[in-house]
Amino acid sequence: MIYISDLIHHLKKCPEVFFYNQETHPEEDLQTSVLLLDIFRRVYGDFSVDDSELPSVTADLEDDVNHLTSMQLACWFFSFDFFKGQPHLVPKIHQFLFEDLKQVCAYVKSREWVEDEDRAEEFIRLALARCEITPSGESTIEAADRLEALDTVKRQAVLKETNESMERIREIRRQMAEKKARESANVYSRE
Amino acid sequence: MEDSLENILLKWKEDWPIAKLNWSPYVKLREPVWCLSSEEASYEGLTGSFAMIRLSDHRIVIDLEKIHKEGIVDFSVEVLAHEIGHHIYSPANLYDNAILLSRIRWGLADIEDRAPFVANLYTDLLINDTLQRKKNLNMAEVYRKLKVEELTSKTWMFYMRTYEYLWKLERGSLVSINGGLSAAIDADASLAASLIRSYSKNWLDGAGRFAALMYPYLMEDKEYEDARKVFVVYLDSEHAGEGGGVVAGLAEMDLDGIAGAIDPREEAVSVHGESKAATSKAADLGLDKLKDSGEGPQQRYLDPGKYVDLFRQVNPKIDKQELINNYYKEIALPHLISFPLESTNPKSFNLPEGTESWDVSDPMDEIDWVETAIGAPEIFPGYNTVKRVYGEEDNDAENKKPLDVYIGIDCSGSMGNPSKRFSWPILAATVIGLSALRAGAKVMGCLSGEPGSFMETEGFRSSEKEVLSVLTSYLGTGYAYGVPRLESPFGKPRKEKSHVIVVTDDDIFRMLKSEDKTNGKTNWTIIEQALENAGGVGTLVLHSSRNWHEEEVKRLKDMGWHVHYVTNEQQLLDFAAEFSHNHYHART
Repeated sequence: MIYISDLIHHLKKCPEVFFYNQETHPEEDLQTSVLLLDIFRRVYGDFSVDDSELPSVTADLEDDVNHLTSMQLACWFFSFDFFKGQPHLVPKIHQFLFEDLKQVCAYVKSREWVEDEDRAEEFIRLALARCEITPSGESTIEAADRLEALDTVKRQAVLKETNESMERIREIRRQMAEKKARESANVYSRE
Repeated sequence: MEDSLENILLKWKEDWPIAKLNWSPYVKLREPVWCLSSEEASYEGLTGSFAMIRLSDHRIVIDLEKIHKEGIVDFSVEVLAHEIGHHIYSPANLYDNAILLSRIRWGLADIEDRAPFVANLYTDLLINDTLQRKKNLNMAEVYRKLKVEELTSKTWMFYMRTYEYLWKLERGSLVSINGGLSAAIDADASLAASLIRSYSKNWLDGAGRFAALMYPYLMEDKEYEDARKVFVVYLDSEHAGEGGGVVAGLAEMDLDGIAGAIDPREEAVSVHGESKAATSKAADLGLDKLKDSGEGPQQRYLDPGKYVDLFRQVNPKIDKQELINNYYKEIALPHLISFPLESTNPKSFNLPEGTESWDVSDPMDEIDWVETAIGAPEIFPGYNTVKRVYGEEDNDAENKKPLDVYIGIDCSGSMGNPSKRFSWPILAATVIGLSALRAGAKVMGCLSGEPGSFMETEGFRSSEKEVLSVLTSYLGTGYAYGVPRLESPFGKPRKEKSHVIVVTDDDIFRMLKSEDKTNGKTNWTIIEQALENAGGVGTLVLHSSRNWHEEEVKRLKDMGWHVHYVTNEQQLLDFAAEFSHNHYHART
């Protein structure tokens, strides 16, 4: 049993230290990879498991600060008790972190995951969908529909498409505005 | 039917306090105007919808017959709380309603006539979201009950899908997903929901964005007409400002409003949350040019045409002349001199002039006991009592008052219509006129475009409305100010002295040379005698160059006229401020 509302509550309680990154705290020795391996071990349910048993992280880490910070936030998220001791989720979480989250991080700032209600829900639903977990009280179809409604990547694609036609409208607006500006220029002049 | 409507009325009356409590226990609002029939509601101005608000008298009108017909009798608290929300949340008052419409208009270039419709939808979203999410009222069920037939209006789909997003409802619970709900509409609705939440407190700041979001849905006349048909039952605040008079402060350009007319689609297309719109903002939408289209001093004001259009939406019943008066008054006000301090009473009644009988109806303290006792040793009140009589005492130092002023404006064909385009001469006249009125002087205004027509106040007036109504009118006839007009106030010497100002251009010399004679006088004679009879300072404000008509100008100066040249329109304003200051600043 896992409720979206509980997860939202948990996600929003994320301690500030998880948002530390090289840009905000250059003095700190921040090791996202260590944090990731720790959370994998927690989900795995065995802290003595060897690194080789876990998915590789260091090779996949890039310099995208926003993605790294979002992954740190995800580490907090997966520390929720529900995920503890479910080793079959580890590869899925890895996929979520390095594929799904990476893709959506191109459009969403890490802070938005906790500050914007919709983005928080999107984060959670994206993670649950990847882990093939249906939230309590929802059918699989309902959960998929809700995720689709919140899907930033999909919305961005639609908006980019829409904006092409909107660009034409804007052009018309711009011309109309210029025309109006010209017309309303002070034309008081004497004979 | 009649009986059940009575019962409905009782139930709704009972629920009125509960609806108010949803907002605050301190809400002071009169009970709605309950209409038992739609005919009665129509008399109150309610047609189409089952409820409406009036900001002018803070009332809510409820059509109970329509409510019964629409099957929403059980939603008394929801409906009443919604209407209360319009009064205390959005738009709340006449001023915010006017600002809301003004901001929405910036987002609806060339389809500004749709602003009240958009404003109604926007405020409904804000109120309903608050009531559903924070007050736990079932607003969604009201929409389900009122669900109109299967619709293809994109505006409807966008709007209802927004509610689904706001309230996390299952897709299709308020709008059919088989009706052509495209991915684009879905994306727009998601943005609208986010906007409503983000701007729920500073809702005026989100109005331009909402308008920009709705723009493509309302661009086509057909789609707009379809949308109106669908939404007609929900439109409860479109004419909320009707009958509310003039709202001050709207002549100035609302730069925040213009900057806020950003398309959320632009903002949303982002990389790492840094939207394109955030950097390009108004410039990208061509709105920077709109900013430059300001009129008047420092180009800070709307042009009068836009001002009138805006107010026609705020209050459709308003008188256009009243608006134009207010427009020039608002722009003139910062340039007026401060109101002179009244320091004295010009006449005093303290000169003893003997005695007269004191009557029992007079105040006791008026009895002059000494004089009464001198007249008769026995005192019979009302028979032999006397009181002191005082005469009027003139005090030269205190009696001085500012001279009246005559303002003649050339309103010939070359002059723009001040109700359509901003006019510097009219602003100058307004500054002088208002400053004089403030100082206690009387003003006579005259517009003249001759040969042709003229318009003037009935002599010297102290009514701001009368003066401004003449000064801000328009003739557009003839070629110059008609000098014979000066005959009207100054044909004979005036008892009260007056300043004379005529704002005109080079054509005045053609008029002066004109051979036509009025009462056997030439125009040169008229202008000379007018100044003499006025007794004050005569000023000719010429939109001309110093090098032209030197001979004629010298002749005018010899008569005593001051000639003030202006080579651009703004100098008219500078002249007006200087003139007001010199002649009305101090009443000594």
